[in-house]
Amino acid sequence: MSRIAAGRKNSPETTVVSLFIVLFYISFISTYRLLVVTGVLVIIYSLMVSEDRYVPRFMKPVMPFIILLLAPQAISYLLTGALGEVDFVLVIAGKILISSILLGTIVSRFSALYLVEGVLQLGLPPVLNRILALTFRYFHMLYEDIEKGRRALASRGLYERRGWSHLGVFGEWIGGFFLKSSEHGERVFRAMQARGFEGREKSDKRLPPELVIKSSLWIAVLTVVLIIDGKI
Amino acid sequence: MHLADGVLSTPVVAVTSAAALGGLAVGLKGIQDEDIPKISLLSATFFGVSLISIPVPPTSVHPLLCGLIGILLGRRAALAFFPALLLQALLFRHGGLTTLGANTILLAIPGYLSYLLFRHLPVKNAALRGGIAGGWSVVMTVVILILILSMTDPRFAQGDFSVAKIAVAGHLPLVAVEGIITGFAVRFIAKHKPDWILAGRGDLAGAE
Repeated sequence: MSRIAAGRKNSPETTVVSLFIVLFYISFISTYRLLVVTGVLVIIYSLMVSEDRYVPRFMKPVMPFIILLLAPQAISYLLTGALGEVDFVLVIAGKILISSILLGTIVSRFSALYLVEGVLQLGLPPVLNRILALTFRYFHMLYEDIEKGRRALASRGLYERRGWSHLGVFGEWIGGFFLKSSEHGERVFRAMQARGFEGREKSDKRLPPELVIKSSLWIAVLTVVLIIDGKI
Repeated sequence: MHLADGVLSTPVVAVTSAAALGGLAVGLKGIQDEDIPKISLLSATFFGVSLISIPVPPTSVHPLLCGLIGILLGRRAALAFFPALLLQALLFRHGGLTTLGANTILLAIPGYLSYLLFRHLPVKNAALRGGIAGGWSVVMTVVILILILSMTDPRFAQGDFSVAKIAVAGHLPLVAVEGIITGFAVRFIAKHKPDWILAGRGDLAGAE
């Protein structure tokens, strides 16, 4: 808890914008040299601030895409004995892994809720903010229902069936969830109206100066790094 | 298949983000207050259900559901996909933040095309129409995925064993799986709330 509190030196929107800028910077990288330097810095940062200091955990969500990237190389090597565009693949894979470590570290340090709060403070259209906030709120409620339904289907042996005959059951189950959500949405709207909900209220929120200054600094520093890397 | 941060080049990130913003603007046009909780709940449902793995021997798949969301929401589909994808990136790190625009159009365009197909296909059976639209949405998703990857770098689609070709091969079974799931989901909804879906224009799909 104290770690989270200590990490809250920045406002959530500043953290989110800084994260976006660094992720954009990573997508600009085109040399091994800068990739390695950035990767080392991100891993050091991750080791310093994340709870369990087990960096590979942050790579897990992107492994399917890494496998998709490496599969053509592996197949080509097995069949022809030659590797194709190995440099291209390694740079892309490196960028994906570094981005994933960074995002995972930030989420683990500040919590997803903190980042969602940051997105909500960015000055998006109020309707979009409202949809995002409600989606976040209802996801947790619905996910419990979905998990219960999944366990019920599993207890009926649906996960052991061979063939595709059970897909219809899953389809009807999913259809039922959407139907339930739509009907629940009508009730939620009436309840929100009763509490004085106005979905399209105007927002005159301006971005805080701290956010503008920090973002500009990030952009300037990372642009200089990319220019220097391109010229050496 | 959600695109992770670092996959796309910056110009492609810019173009796809602009396209997603356009899609969101189209979705927001003429929105009513009562649509907001409904879209949010459908978005949350899409988010939750897409995390469930469905056994398809010898493996298992996560349903895309962009066809079904498209059928239910029409041109407002992007409004459901955007928050769900953002939350997926933040909560589970599926997808990415810089690729949020690309992932949104990767689902929203096939979703809207599925809606048009479902609405105009000269087939009376709603489940069959839904099934065709669901399968079609996966085909369109793969086509747009390959287009986005090729815009980033043509090497994604070059060679005998390219990423694009493996992505096509990997998604082929999903065309049938998504078609069956969407067809049965549409059949269930049509049976219990026919006015929402049978005319091919749900209460949230709104005017074209």
